[in-house]
Amino acid sequence: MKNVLILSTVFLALLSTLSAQNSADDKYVAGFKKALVNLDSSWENPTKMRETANQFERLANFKKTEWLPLYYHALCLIQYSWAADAKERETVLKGAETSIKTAQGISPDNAELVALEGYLYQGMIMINPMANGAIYGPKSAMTLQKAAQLDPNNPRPPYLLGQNIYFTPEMWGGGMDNAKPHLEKARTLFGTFKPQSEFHPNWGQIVCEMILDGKIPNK
Amino acid sequence: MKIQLLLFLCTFSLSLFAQKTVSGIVIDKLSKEPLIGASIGIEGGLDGASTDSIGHFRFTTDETGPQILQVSYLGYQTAKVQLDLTQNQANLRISLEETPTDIGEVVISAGAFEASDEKKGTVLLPLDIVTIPGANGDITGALNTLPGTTVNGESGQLIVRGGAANETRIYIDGMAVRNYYTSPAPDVPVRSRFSPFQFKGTNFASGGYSAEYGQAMSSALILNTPDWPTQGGTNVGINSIGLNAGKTFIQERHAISTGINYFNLSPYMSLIKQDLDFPTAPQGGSAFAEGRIKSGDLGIIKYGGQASFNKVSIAYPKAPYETDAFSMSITNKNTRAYASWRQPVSDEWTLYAAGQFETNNDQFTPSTFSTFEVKNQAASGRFNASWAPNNRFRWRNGGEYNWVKIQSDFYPDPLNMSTAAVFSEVETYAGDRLVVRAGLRGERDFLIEKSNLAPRLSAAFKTGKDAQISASWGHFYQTPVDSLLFRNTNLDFERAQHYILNYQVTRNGRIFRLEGFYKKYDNLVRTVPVFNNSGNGFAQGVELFFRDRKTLQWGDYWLSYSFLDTRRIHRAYPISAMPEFAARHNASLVFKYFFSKKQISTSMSYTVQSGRPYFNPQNPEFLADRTPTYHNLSVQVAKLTSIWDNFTVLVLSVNNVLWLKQVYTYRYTAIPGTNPQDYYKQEIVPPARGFIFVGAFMNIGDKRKTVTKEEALE
Repeated sequence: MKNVLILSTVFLALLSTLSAQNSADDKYVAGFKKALVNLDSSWENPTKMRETANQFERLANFKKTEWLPLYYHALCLIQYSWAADAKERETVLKGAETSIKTAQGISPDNAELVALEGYLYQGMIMINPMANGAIYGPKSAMTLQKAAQLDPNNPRPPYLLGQNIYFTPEMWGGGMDNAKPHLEKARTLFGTFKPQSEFHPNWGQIVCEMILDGKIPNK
Repeated sequence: MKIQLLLFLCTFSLSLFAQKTVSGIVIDKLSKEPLIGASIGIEGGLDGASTDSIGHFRFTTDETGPQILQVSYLGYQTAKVQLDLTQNQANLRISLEETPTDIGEVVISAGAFEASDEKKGTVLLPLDIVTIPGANGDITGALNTLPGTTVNGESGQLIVRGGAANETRIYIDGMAVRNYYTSPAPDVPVRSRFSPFQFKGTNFASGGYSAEYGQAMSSALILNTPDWPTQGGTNVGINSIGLNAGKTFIQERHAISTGINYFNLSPYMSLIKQDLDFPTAPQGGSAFAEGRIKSGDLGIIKYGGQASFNKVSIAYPKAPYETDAFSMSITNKNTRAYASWRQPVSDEWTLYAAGQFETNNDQFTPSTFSTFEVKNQAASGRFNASWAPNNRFRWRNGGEYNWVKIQSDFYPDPLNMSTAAVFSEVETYAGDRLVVRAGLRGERDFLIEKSNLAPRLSAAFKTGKDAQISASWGHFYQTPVDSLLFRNTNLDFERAQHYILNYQVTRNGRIFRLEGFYKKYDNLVRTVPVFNNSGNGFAQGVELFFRDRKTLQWGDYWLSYSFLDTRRIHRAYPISAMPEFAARHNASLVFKYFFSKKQISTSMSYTVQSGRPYFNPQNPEFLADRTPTYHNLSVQVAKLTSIWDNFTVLVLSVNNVLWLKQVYTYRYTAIPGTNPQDYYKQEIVPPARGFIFVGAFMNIGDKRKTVTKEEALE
């Protein structure tokens, strides 16, 4: 009886030590999955998007060698910035820029990160559209072009380019007619795109389809 | 016994799994306001939460024992708090401090209005200047919607805080420009020779400015040209008074912009009745070429030149006792050439050198007199060396030399004026909230053979997240103007002392400024009864400015108000009096709205100014009469469109749209042969009640955003 008790105690103690060793990776994986689930339900909800950004920030602090949590941190902030006021927008986008640059230090010439950088510049236009449009519009396009060169099969560069053109007034060269070639190309690429893992970026298809189907007005 | 120990161990290890709750609030250290969306987490773990809409947070964690709570928020410094997680932690109160860079640059705002795309907290953008109706695309006209200025329609020059027009000096890329304005004809306003499109940044100092600038008792207008053209291509324009065309070539390291401009008001004047008669309508042309060369990675060389020619002839209304109307014809030829080189020579040192040469030739032909000529040649050079070991400290040193030779047919000898100046100025943070700028400027004038030493001191203190107080003091010397020096060179510098206190709040796209100033004048030149520097005076006032870019998504408005109290004794004044160029109250409202779907930009401006003093020889009290209140309501509509695939802007602008009578001042002329002396009183009014401008500007080949298309992925 005593032996059984001792054995089981030792077993319990062993178990907890073992789980402690494995738990770091497990925690990260579990935390990442949870954050991605949150991200899925944050697209329409700026407050939640900010919370999700914080979740990815904690993941990035937890595992400083990974570019993916930084990528999502920046993505959440850029997405959140559309709803922020001018001053907060600038601070938030600066935060996103820092994360993107840090991530690019970990993973250079990463098409997803370069595409996200292009998306960041679209956000920067909105800090002051009259003054920033002429600077960040072309900068965004050039960065997305670079992303497309790095990975011609990635759907996000043409999608982000097309989306930005779609929301630009027609007389400035925007509108559906000008956006369509890019969005159509993105649609094709979305159809064949396979993310490297369940954690790798795999977003944009829904909005791309909705724009092409005329479900999102640009006026 | 052992069993008891084991049971204890089991309970203990179970307690390891018992979750603890952590809750509290996160606030801004300074404002005590809750921070929404801040991130709270256990260091080295993944448990955490975000603050809600009232700054509260709550989460549970499996961690136990002593832990560190990490609290972060974008734009704030991350805080770390020791926690004992053997028990729940409730009601934590964590205050975060803004990161110094996000507190925002502490900017010395006393006396400074800046229009720039690059810096935060600027009051105007360069685009604003060209779109203010009533300004007619003139920089000085646009500045008249800011506090501290007084509208002087008969001269068109910039009048700041009770200072005369010559108390403002205009610098382009650090070089003092002598012939900034077009040549003056009596009672007809001058304009800037430069288009607002030539500048990327405008820095309007209504007082208390840096030791880098001098020879201006009241104000410095600092204009900077762009380092690099924003886009290449061809542009053409046609409007109600002329034509223009330009072409810009951009290569990797070299860019050239060229342009020509022709104007002739005779068709316009035959359509819109003028109150003054113009035997020769204002007409002329100009051409310019400007180059930019990249020097190394960060350096830039600028060079360029422009030449212009114009003429006008004006017949003034005839007084009842006159047999012939007085008329005046003016022909002007002007050139300017410049070169400058800015080069960062290390991470910390930047050198700047610049030089320019100007010529200006005016021929005046009055109906009562033979033609006379006034011409000048001017050269100036500048050198600056700036040391900035970090972004919290800057030490600037430099010097400038200005030479001008003026020949007037009225005086037998030309006037050779030259001044040299050196300055040194330190700008440094003292803590995160305080910036101090201290400078010293020394000048030598070789014509009057006098020297001066002008101290300048400014500081800005951040009182809150968005608010700051700024103060400035300094001495500002100026050589007497050439018209006085032609008569007498035995004069000293005129001097003003500025005391400025400013409070500024910038929050959410809104700016509020309140500024008070006191300016003391000494050594002003008097011409009667003796010709010397015995004049003096003062100017004091309060100014308000409010701009709101936030309330309306596509709208923008600003309001400014200036109160000015000033008196001086100078020139031929018999007593100290409020000068004829000053007005006690001045208020402006500018409103802009952009209809984004229709791509139409609309704007209006309204300025009201109390009457200015004028000289009435029949009033025994000197300068006691006041002109009527001045009103000006102007509107502008611009449509952005595309013609044959070329980006085009169509503009309609009406100055003084209510066609109200504006009387700038009155002139009294003695009627000959009357005893006691009788006078004829003449109103000085604009050449016409209002001004209508219709124009189209086209950028050929600019398909706007098609850049994106071409650079796209195909």
